[in-house]
Amino acid sequence: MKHNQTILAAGLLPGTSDPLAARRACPARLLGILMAVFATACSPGDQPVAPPSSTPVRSAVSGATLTAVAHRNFREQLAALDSAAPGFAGVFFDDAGQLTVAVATDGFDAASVARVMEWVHEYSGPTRVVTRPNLRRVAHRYVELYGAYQSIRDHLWSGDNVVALGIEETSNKVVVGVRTATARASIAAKLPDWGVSADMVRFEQRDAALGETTLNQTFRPARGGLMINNQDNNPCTLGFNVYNWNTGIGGSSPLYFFTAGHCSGTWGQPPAQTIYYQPGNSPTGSRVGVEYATVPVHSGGYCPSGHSPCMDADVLVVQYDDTVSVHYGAVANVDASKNITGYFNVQGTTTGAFVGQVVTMVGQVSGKSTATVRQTCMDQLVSGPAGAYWILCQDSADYSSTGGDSGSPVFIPYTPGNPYTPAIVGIHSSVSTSTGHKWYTPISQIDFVFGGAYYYW
Amino acid sequence: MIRSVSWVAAALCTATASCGSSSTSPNINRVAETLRAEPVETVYAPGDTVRITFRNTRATDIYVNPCGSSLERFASGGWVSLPPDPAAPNCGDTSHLIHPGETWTGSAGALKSPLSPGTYRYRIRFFALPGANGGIDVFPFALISAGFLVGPLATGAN
Repeated sequence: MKHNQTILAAGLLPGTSDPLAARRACPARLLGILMAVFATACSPGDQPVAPPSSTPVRSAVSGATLTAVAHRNFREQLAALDSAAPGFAGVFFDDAGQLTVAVATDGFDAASVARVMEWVHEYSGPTRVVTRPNLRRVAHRYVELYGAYQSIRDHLWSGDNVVALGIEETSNKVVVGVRTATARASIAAKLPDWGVSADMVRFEQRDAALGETTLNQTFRPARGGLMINNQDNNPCTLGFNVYNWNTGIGGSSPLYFFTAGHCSGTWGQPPAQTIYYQPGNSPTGSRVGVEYATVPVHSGGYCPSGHSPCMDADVLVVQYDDTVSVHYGAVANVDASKNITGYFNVQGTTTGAFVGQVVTMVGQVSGKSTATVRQTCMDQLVSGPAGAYWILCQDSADYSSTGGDSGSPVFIPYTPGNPYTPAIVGIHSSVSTSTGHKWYTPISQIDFVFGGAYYYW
Repeated sequence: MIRSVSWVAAALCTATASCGSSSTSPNINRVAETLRAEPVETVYAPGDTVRITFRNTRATDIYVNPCGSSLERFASGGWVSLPPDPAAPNCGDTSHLIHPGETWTGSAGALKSPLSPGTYRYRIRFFALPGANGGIDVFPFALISAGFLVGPLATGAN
């Protein structure tokens, strides 16, 4: 059962309220053998989020019988390291893939480093030989976090709406996964009585368990593919979560998402204070943000002769409210019933697609479908609820879509062995009712129209 | 807009889903019968933009998008679908949510020109209802508008 607890803690990683946690977590997640265990959960492609079965960790990977470490789970072993290496606070691989030892003291000497590395080599096997890890100064010793974890664990109760509990080395905190905001507040209020300092805990709110929620229901952390609506009652789909270079990348910087421009009731106008909800307006959903940036309208010679007004992209940007948990770099993965089963990591180094490439679209009405790009950079007239404009340079791929899928993320999922994946491709826009072809605004046009202000990889 | 027409349709269908049979299931027909999808005008000319007012008389939300709806003409005692207009714009793939008791008016697009005079109606391209588990059940072309007339402009018409 102790092994189960280790797995459960790791199961926290994909669904997180920290926008960068997923980025940190996957490169940093545990060590050699554990990395193999969670390769599925954190690989950039189709990623189930539910914890694995109760299979013991080591034997699950290698098929070998458990060795001397079997009497302690991963968490217990890390806590025990403090006696051999005082101030030890955790060990993980950082974003750059460097083995990192977190330390909660300025006096962490070379002998302590050596003892930690000895344990690392013992735990992860002889193939992983790293002698000079990076050191990262943090606030809490692992053994302190472990004490906090134990205290919380011992005070939980049936019906508390806690869905996960563990220690996250990268954030140097105990992570408590809760189902509702009420549960979060309830537990947070009790932490002092349990002898746990609030700064040692990070809450991760999940409004429902994965696999029980569809794209049309409330889901946090917010990711691409979810249903959104605005005060003008134009249901659409959440596209990609992005940062803005001008307001900062990572950390507590504001987050934004793309959706289709015509989803706005004021399409073609400067950003209004249009409010967006997920999945719908109250009482079925809650506010997630406000319209932040729109695409300027051109006329005259900028547009094809005789075909103005026009725009360079059918897209708009919504700024998330600070209170909304966001899964940066993620698009929902769904089954045939649109149940959310995990996510696609769309943080790639490449963007766009050429004719002949297969792209995937996840829309709140149609769910997930794939299609081959059949045409690129075509100018055409698009009609929306608030008018019609010529949209310049749209691409086409005949995935399944219908009303409400506007704004959907179009992307190429991670494919093992293909260094050009994953790739963000575009934002779904429209359908030709005479030909049935589907059209999206390519990411290159979005970059162009916003001057490359948005960061999404 | 005031138009003079030199002819009168003998039987102008005015009730939603009452002008001929639908190829969709009986259940969805019953749903559609509880809705109202009425053109803002009763008479149009070729080239006019037809706007349709939807009245949700159901107890649940509905989703509609009239853009790109299929035009049908009453002829020889039945309704005949017209081929889609290749010059029509793409339709933004959004929809409009109408709460119970509310109305909303949206554009079905512009009528082709020329277009034979007669009685017409639209099959609404996107019509959806809330489904199980918060999902959305889509019934393309199941909702039918009330009929309207299309006639030539008389001399001096506005």
